[in-house]
Amino acid sequence: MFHRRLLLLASVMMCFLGVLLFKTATLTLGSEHVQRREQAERALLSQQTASTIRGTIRDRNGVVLAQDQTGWDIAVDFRVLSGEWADNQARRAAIRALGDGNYRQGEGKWRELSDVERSRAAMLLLPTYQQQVEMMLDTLAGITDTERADMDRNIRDLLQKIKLQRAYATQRKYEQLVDRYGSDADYAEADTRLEEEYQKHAVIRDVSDAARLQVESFIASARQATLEKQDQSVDLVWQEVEPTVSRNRRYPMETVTLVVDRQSFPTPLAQDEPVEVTVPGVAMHLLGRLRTIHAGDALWGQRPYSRIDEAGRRHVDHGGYLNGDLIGAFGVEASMESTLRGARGETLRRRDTGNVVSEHPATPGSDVTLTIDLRLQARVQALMSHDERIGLMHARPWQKNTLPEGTPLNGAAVVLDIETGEVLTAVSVPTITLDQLEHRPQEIYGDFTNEPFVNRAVAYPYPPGSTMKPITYAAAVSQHVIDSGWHFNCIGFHDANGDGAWQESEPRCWVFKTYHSTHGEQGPNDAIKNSCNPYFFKLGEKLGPSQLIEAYHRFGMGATHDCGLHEERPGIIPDPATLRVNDAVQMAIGQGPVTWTPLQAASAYAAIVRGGLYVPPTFIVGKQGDPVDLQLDETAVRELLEGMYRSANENGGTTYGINFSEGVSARIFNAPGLRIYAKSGTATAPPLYERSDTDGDGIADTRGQKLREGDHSWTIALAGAEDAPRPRYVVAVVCEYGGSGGRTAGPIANQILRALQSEGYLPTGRVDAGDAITHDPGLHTE
Amino acid sequence: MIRLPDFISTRLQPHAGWLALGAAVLLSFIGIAAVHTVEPGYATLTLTRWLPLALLMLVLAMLPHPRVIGELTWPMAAVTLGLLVLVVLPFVPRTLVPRINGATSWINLGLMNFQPAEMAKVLFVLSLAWYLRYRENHRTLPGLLVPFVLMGVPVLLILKQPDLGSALLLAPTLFIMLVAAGAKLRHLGALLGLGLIAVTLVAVVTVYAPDYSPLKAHQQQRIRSMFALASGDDRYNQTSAYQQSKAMTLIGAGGFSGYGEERAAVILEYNRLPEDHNDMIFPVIVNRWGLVGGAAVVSLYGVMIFSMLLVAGRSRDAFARLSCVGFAGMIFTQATINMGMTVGLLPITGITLPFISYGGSSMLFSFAMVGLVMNFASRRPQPLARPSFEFDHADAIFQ
Repeated sequence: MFHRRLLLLASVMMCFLGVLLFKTATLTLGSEHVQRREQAERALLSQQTASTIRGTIRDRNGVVLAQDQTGWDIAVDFRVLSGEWADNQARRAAIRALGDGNYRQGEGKWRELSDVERSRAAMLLLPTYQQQVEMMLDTLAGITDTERADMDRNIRDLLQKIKLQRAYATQRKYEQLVDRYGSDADYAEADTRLEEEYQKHAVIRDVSDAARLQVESFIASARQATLEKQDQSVDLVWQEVEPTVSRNRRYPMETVTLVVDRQSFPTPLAQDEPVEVTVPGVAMHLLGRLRTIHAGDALWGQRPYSRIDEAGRRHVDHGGYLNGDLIGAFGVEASMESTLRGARGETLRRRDTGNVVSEHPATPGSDVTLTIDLRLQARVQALMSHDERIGLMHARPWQKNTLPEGTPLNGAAVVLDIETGEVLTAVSVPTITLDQLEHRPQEIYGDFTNEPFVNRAVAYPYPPGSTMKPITYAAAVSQHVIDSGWHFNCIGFHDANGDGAWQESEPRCWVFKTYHSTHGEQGPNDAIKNSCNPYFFKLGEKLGPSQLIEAYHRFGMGATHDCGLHEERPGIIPDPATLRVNDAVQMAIGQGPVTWTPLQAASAYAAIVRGGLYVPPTFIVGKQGDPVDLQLDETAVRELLEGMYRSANENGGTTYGINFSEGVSARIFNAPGLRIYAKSGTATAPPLYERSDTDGDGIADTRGQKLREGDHSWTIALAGAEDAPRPRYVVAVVCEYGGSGGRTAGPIANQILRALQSEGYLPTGRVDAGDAITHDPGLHTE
Repeated sequence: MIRLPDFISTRLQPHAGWLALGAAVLLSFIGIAAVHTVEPGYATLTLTRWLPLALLMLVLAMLPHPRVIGELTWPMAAVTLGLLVLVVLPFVPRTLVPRINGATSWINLGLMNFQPAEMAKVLFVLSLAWYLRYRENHRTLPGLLVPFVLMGVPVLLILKQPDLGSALLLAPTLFIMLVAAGAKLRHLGALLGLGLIAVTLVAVVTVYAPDYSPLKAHQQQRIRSMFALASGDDRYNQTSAYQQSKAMTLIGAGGFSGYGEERAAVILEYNRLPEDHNDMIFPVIVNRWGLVGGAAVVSLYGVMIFSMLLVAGRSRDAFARLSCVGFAGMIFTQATINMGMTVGLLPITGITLPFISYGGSSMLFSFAMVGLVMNFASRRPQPLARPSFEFDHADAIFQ
């Protein structure tokens, strides 16, 4: 039996060895071998990368908005900043003093001292070295013309950051130790220094060449002193200083100072003397910013620098990401990332022989030109700033809103070139500034009530209100539901059941609601001028949900158009199958389930002016979608422009004038030398609640008290030279909870038209400030 | 006392043990050459210190009569247990029992770091053989309890160091010895089945529901990464599967005939295979000599194991028989697990390749095993010896 068992055992063991041999053979022969040999030999290659330069972003006039700049930083050893250097120097000096200048002898005596005696001896000498450090930092600040306080703040932040990193690393390591040894783990064993604690760190950024040379001379004399063994020299600490090359992204036009003329402001705000305004954060929403990318980032997998395919081969994307790379976080920096980025250079070298295997030079990123005019953008941002001296974006008593006077308003404005579809200016209020992004990001990303991080011009869909009416009319004509001269008798409400009497369920005209009157017989341009609701209710009813929505889609609503910003949002256009005729009736006047962004609004109006040619708007020169012909008939375009012209220029038009108080009134649009067309909108909006993020995931999850309610205020103005056949620019302005469309957004649109004049886009006529209306008791505004 | 002519005439006559010795010496030289590729200093140390010491150990192990060895087994086992306890005691000074790579497996003897677990492997086989030699009760289920306790005590002590690798060797060796000793295969099969079910459960839980796994985090990670490697998933290649994927790469890269010493040294250096002179010596061998070298090593183990079993078969002394089977089983298990993990068939655990990996204690006690086998092989069968482990009445081996 024993022998049979032995035989059994021997066979089983030999089988196992056979399996091992077989597996070794599969690894060492055939395709596995080829792949693995390639992999193993790849380890012999060392890869060196050369950095590239990110492309420059310019405005339409070639003004540099964002640029990579190489410069010099001044870096100081971490141990000097943490105080450790001074401690060490003091101890060494104390030892040397013990040995009467001989360190070796001193060491022997040092060992005989008690701990208390040692620290007392070192403490006595410590101030000398602390003073050296202080003087060095003071000198650095002086040479580089830096505020010592700013520098100290940088140093404090740096020490803090590295301390946190070390605490984190220690914790992780301690957890691993506990995992391995249980209670035997030692916390002290886990607490080891980080590499950063032995490195030099930039304390002053971007110093001039002259300053750098001066710093270098200090360093050189300190080195010289060491060579000559003048150990008591005060300059020794300079050995721990080093100028380092830096690459920084600069936004040179981030802050612009300009003069705003307030003479043409709404009467109560008008002032004779101009005011100088400094605007920070010019076009920051559009430009965006850089951030670092790390392994595990959502974008990481999309474009890794190198990857190994299934066959084990390495593929390199020289434009791809390596850990710690800077990439665009938002705005054009993010949307044009692949253009701006450029490609790294790479040299592959054999580690064993040192031979170069392959060399690939770095290519700099391409430049990007924006359609934005920086000066105009700055001017509009100044007009819409929350600066009290301007005051256009503050709640005022004549605006018919529910806010206390002086409340800052949020909103957005877009200026579009009608001919090209290029965006000249896009402003979002509240703005964001570089200073906030760098030092106080919480103000931006922690404010979930005002959401300053959202670029409202392209990413915030608002209910359109009456600004939708021209689109509804154009839709009805292009769908052949009515002919372009269609007339309608306004009886003050939408007479859905045809009995001529108003029912609770029937929507009313604003004149009926406010003044209990009617508009009577209305042609298309009357209906636009008066913003007559029943005219458009009827059109909504005639079109029905599906035709209306089809037309809205053709006007660019409910979709994004690759305008050059990833932030672009489509707005809401519902599926017609879910709608009833009543919804179409509401949507026809811009209420109900429909929203658009200021950019979409401006583009839709531009399409009307072009006779129905929809050109997708763009922020990037040379990057635009294909136009779509909506086939509007010529008369319809004429009627719409006529209606909007009358709205802005004829008594009774909703964008004609404002009654500030008894007997004081003024025209809304007062820019001379222009032919101005406008349409207002007062859009019912859901109330604004205080919102916050309690769990810290970056998404608002808690709703607090109601802060604002009422209507969003819209004005869309079109303007061209007085004698031009059609307008040249469209300006869309929205003020959240601003109340009356014409009264809040109107004056801002007016000032933007004047800004277009002062920047030379529109001709300036005769100078006549004010244009006060002295007659007209029955001035109506919506 | 032993007289030299007598020693030569009896101990040095031709027998199967010589084959085992030949294989052991060849494997040692392959090991020295392989270690020389990656750590030339260690190779010299093996050649000048450990191999001579190991051969001395071999000769010493050949001297005493098997009966003397048997009678010394229990005292020696007790000493070994004492040493195993010593290294895991919490208050032993770290100068005596240093912590190396997180484990307290060694006793600092000045000249060498002595690893009691290596000694325990030999003593485990001897004591089990001594215990089982005239018994029959291991053919009943309750009778298996004592052998399992004999295994359990050192296993627990070794695990405490922690040295999972050495601890893992004892169980398979026990099974192999019990099979040879005639334990009922259905009993062993049932126990093995239970064990397999437990291992499978742990593996499945670790891979699919890590929260409930009884293993430590780094052990879980190794199992997960091995499954990932096996299924072509490379996400752990730079982390927990690094060692195994590197090992497989270097084995594959060796091809049929290998890189040769100079080139292999360069490839191995820049591929940074951890533990390349130690647990990971097999990839070094295949990288340098290719499949030919790998096959030679596997075959030499085959020869060694086969010859040890042959000695067991020819011997009639129960203690000798079982000891030889035990040593064969021990060497087989260790070699198979080590090579299995480097070719990606088993998860990574710290286990050396006997005779080849660098390590003083390991080499001394591996040669001690060969010496004992030689000793047993050279004894003339005693005419009146009781038949051992012959339980059949012409019945099947599967009884």
